[in-house]
Amino acid sequence: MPSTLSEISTLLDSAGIRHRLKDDVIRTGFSTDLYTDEDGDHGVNILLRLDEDGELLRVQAPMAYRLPKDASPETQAAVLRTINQLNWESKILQAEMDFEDGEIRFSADFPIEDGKPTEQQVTRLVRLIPSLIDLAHLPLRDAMEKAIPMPTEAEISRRFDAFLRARA
Amino acid sequence: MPKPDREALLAEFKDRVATAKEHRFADRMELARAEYLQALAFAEEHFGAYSTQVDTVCLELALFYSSTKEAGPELAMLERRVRIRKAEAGIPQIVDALQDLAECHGQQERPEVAEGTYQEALELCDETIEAHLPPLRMTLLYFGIFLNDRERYDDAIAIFERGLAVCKLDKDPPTFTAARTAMHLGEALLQVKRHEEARVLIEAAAPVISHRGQTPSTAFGKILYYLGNYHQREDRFAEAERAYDLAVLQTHNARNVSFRNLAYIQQAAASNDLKLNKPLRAENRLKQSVRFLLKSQEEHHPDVLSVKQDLVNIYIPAKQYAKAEVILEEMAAATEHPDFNDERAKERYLNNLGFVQVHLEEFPKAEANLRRALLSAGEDHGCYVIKNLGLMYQKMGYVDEAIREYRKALPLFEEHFSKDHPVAEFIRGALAELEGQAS
Repeated sequence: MPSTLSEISTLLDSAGIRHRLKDDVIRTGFSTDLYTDEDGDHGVNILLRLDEDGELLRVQAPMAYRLPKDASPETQAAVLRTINQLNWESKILQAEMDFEDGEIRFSADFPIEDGKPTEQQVTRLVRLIPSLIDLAHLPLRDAMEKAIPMPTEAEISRRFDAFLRARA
Repeated sequence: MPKPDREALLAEFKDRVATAKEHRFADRMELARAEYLQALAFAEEHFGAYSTQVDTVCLELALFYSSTKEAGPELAMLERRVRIRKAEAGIPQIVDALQDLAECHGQQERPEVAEGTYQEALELCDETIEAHLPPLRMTLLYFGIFLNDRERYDDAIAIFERGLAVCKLDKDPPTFTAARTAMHLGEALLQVKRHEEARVLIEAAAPVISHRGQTPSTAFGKILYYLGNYHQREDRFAEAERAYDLAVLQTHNARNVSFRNLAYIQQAAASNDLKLNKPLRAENRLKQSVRFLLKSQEEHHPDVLSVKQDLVNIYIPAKQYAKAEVILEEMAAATEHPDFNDERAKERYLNNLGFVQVHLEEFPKAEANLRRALLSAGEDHGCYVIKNLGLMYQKMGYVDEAIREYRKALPLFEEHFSKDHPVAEFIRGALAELEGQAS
């Protein structure tokens, strides 16, 4: 039997995560260390909803960032490379960009199918978002403001090794 | 009865150690102790006193005794491990055990013995033998950290430099160890005021140590915080912001989060944000800083009050008096704690509180707080407080009372500060205006 949002809400209650269930969406939020929302507040808004007749749980931080429409091709390339790198290094969460309006969001889809998610599964999904959004903040800021893409781990190592070799 | 085969004995030994560990991680210390001691006896009986199994249990027991704060037994286990390795193992293994022993001596406040042990480990290593390089560079790293902790920065610099040179000898560069060494070398260089050399090293190493695959550390958070402070002093505010942000990530995601460190970082970053003209971000950081400090400090602790004062210093110039009032009321309440004994600070908080209440036109509250402030007045006889009483009466339209207070305050400013002090100028202006009205 598919899950319902009320059941997800009960799991969040049990985990002590404050939230609100209204209009088929659960809304919650967490404070962040680095990431600031459009109003400059250190916090991220998170939505949970069920799709596919209750068989898919979607956890999203919509509109986390917005790439301006007039962003240069270099900036766009840097942002896309950064998003790719973030996804490459991430196990569960994904960063996504909508080219229509420049929205960058963080999300995790969890196939419930015919099972029931546990409290640990739901809280891990939800709590991952503030953690990843803080880790992603500096690379995304570099990409959006300076057109500098997030380097791969191997690139970071090569640069440091070259620095050491060049150092007298 | 047939003798149990070695495989079965090894399996039983591993099982005993695993059970002991399970108890230790679950904080069932007495059960863990019993299991470890049985595993040790088992290993001695079946594998010999100098076996790798005894070596394994010795390290486990040392970790156990370290967590139960039993210094003597911890040291005995690590010394026994060195003896086993000297008898049975090669140089890299001996160096590794000596390094653990040196760290233990350092933590147990025997710095001279610790240093001797580090030196003994270093003397055993030969840089031309590849197998010696990994333990050698780790020993150099930990020895350098030991010297940094004792504020022997010049000695630490020499050791870290040798460590980086050893890192370069390896065919496959040990990038993470080299980056750790560079970070700690940067710390030592900052302490001896070789700031630019430190900056170059830390900025080169920071991407390696702060990559998501590496475990964040409070120590790196501290080094990045120092770097942020350096940038801020040099008016490189964007660079400072980045260093502080990295410091926050390192500190908050470390295994043992130091909320006090986190609070200091956020306070310094807030000061930097103000210079970047980002008051909202500064305000948010300071609010976080207060929350972090209150996890371990009480409301009347000087650090808590200092951060709250920074918040007030944002609100008052921005004329956000209602926000300032909430914070100042908390600060004034904190001064009532029996352990609080800074009368100057008390006067300042009550005076500021009265000042914002004057602007909020909460005159009875303002007067009460300004009068309370006067009770804590110091050498300047509360001249700021008296000026604010004048301001209050002026705002209330009580001309004579305002003139009286301003006339009391003016000579005090002239005496304790200077004739052209900005507040003295303000009072003269206010008096001229009020005396015009009175006449």
